[in-house]
Amino acid sequence: MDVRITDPSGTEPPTQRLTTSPRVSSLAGARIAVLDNGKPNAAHVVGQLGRHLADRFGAQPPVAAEKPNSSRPFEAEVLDRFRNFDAAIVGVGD
Amino acid sequence: MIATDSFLPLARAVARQEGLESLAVATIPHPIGGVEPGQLDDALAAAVDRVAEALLSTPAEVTTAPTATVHDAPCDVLGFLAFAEGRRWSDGLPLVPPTEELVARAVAATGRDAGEVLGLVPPSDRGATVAAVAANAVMAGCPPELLPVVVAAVQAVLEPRFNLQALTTTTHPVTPLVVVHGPVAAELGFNGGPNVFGQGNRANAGVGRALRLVLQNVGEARPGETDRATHGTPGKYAYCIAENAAASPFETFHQARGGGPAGAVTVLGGEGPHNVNDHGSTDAAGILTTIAGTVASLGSNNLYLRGQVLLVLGPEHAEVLAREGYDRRRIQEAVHAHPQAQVSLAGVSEGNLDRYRRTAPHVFADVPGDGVVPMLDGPENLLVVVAGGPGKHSVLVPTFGTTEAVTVDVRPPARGAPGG
Repeated sequence: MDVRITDPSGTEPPTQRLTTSPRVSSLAGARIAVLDNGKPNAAHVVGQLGRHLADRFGAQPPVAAEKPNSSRPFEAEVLDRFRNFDAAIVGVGD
Repeated sequence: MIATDSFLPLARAVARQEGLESLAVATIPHPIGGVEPGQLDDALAAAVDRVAEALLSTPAEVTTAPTATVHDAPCDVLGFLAFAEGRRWSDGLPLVPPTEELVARAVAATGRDAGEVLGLVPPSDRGATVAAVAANAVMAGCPPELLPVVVAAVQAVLEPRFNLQALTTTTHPVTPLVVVHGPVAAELGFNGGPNVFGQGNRANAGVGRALRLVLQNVGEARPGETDRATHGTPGKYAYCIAENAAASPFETFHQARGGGPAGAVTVLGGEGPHNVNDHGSTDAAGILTTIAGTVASLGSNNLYLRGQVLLVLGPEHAEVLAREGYDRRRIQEAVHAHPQAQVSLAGVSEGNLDRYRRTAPHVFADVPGDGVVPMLDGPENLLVVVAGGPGKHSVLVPTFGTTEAVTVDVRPPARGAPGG
């Protein structure tokens, strides 16, 4: 025998999509932002990956930005600097 | 996006929040912290092709399928618990089935529409409808009359300055502490007296647990996945206290927070409570020394992210302080200025200090020659509430740091409303 119950998970999340730059077909000459989220060694991780992409795929030298507190979002004006970039590398981890 | 492999579920959730369902995530071995940078280089070199592929891929948009609003569940106890467990609705403890009848009574007790969305709960950003909040409160064991308090607590944690996104996904052992204050605390039977942080009271346990179930079931903060807590805290089952207004010898916390006529809740992103034991002092100076010395703690986030700390004064400590003319403001000022509320950096590693210089340059960029820095940025960063029962103890609740206490009034249902 069953009982009818109410689902406790609420409504679906909004589906608006973050506006992204058009994808490039090649990384040659691409402008790539590397964003340090404030976690220890995050600057090294994203910076090193950006340099590898420049060396191996011809991307431009990466341009870095950081946020000092990993528990806060990046400031909007920091992200605005990369509005016309081709790609960005961000991280989640510890 | 780059993720350490342990954090892949959180990376996926963050991408989904931004509407980028299949954003390519390249993983590298966890952890990246706690090692010399050069030790990561082989793993980074090995990841470059995956990163390049990710940068060239186009993520699909999020697609959603509406969730069923009702289910037919087994009505025997063990059958229902298995059904709920299968949908990951449980915190590990048994749940009360949220039957349509019980949920309708709980919704009615709020005086709100079942479909009203109180806000979006991170990291899923699902909408906390009144019906969903009521269902979680029923599952937590709340009787209908507690629902206005649960609603206020949910509204409070969703205020942006509370920073719930970070609190629910961090490795830090933090969870919202709900402090209930004002007339509603006594009227609904909350415990602000003996064993205030402990077991044995349905209102404290029910409201604390209901809020946690909302974070888990609406926000999808799931342990080991999107909830990245290294250890967590027992407060993640339920963390709710009430002010002991009758024992407050000075202006109540409710008055100080500007709470409304029916009552209010204040939420604080807190660690577990830490004891402030002082059986020896007979005067205010002694008790303040012990409090200040306990505030100065090397392990807490408050040292490097700063922010607020909550002092839960036991009534007997409060009485000694008040006897010598200390009210809340004087206690805040005395603890802030106290020489023992300072931390010697002799106990801080060089690696940590490098990090602290980034997060709190106003404290750590130019440390005095004696290597001692203040623990609190200002008197107002010490919140003070009187709670607890007889005994020579107070309690300190350090916080996540990057968070701010939020107070929301409890709005009683309109007179004559069912369940009100």
